[in-house]
Amino acid sequence: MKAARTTLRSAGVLGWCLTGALGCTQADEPPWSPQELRVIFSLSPPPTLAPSPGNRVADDDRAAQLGRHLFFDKGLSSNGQVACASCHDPIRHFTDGRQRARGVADTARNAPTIIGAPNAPFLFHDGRKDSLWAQALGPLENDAEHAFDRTAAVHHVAAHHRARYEAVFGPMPTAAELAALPAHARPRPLDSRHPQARAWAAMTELQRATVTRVFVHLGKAIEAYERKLVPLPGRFDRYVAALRTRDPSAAQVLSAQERRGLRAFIGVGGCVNCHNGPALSDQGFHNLGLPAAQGVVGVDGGRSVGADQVRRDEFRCGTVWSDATPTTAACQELRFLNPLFEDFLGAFKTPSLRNVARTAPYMHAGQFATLEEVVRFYQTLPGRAQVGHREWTLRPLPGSVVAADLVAFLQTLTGPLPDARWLGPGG
Amino acid sequence: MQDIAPAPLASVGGPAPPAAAAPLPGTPLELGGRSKAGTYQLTLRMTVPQVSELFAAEVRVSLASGAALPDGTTVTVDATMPDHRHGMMTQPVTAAVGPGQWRADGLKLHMQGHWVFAVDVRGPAGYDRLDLPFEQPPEAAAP
Repeated sequence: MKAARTTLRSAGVLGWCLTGALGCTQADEPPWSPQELRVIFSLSPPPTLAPSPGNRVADDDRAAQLGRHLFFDKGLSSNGQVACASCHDPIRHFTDGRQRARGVADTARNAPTIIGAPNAPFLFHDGRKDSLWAQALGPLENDAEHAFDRTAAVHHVAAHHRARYEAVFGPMPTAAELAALPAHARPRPLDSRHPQARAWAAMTELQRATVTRVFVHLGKAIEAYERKLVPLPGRFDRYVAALRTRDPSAAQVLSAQERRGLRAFIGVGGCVNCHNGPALSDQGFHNLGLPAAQGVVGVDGGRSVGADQVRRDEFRCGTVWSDATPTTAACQELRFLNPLFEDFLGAFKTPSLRNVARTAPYMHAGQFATLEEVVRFYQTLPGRAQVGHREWTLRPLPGSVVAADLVAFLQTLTGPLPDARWLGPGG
Repeated sequence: MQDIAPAPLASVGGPAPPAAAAPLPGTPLELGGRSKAGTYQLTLRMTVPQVSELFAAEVRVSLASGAALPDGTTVTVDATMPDHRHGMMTQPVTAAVGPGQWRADGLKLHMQGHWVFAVDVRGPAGYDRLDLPFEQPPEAAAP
């Protein structure tokens, strides 16, 4: 501890020289304090990949190859026009550029980036899934997204991806078993009279388990693919690396304006309260008191609904479909989740800010088109929360914070796209 | 979830230290003192967590009078950010692990800054509570 403090003090002294754009010549730019350096160092380098104990093939390259083919396959949708990549387009850092995602119909939420998603303990803006493989299955059966169903997915994979599937998961159902399955069937707990729900109910228990097992494997393969999409270092990370090693070239990595933005971000702006850690996200859920999303009917309860859903989710950690047992450390996030947390009403997950300049529009329903609009919102905090209450600690940004500085800093968080091998369906 | 702190422990009591002095994650820490009404002597031992990291804490309770702690005593541990008017996003579970000893699992401090641990003790000797200020350092959990 003593040694660590000594190191920080040394770094703080050195910081005087490293923060100036022209070495030590900018007398109006104060040095980074030891505490500021400690916060800055906590934000970089980008997060490394966390294990996925609920998915035994999470790091199997053959599973990732299968998942890549599935990710780009429009055949996994009711109209043959929607793939995961439709809303998570690689060239847009795995977003779609739209206010709200559109699958076979319009959805109520913005499509978040996939890059960095594997490290989140809860997925979707409301955290209604607790693993990336379980998350990947949600859109397939969502009526506004892929609008697909379980038996159709099994038939499709048997016809188009059998060899890749069997290389990872073993034999698919036999031809006779497939022939005995309905073309379209899935559980629909809220609509038991739907033809797909009736077809599902008419299947044997063994058939339902067989189909669901294959369906779960698809999610696990997609997760294996998405784990290849890790965030890569940007200019901010190069700056921090230079600070760590006392490299005098740090001063040339970020401009004076970008450094001012960083100082506001970790200081008076208070952004780092929620956007912390290497992902620049606390992975928590907060109610910002955002304006209503244009064109969306009704009020979105956000995490208050998602926290309840994840505890009952068919594919949650520790179920028969998960490769993690409920009593292990793998399921502790779910075990200790407080569904009655007082501020979950109207709260949504803190997004990672890595690559944020490439993932517009912003917020869970795409309320803001640009980073400038986002900062303008934080400058004035107009209006009131649609439901619940705005996070108590949120205050308008101080007048001393220049919006353009913050935006300039946020743009330094952009890293290159992941390895080109993973940016398309391949052969 | 990280484990409880091994000995030896650094001892921190009294008001919250300034942010710059917040101990680094991974540092063993012991907080403690006399409960509000003076009934119990309490200590809470843990390893300083990273932001958003699930962690456990060990609580030791004795009667301030020096008498034996009566059977039927129970302990709960919670944490809040008074300035933010919220608690934790998790629901900790506390279980007895030995005479006068409890273990609280499922603690998670999702923001850096000033938190207060609340240790509540109920039992034949009466209800009492101890609030223990704690400064969560900024370092976030490594995935």
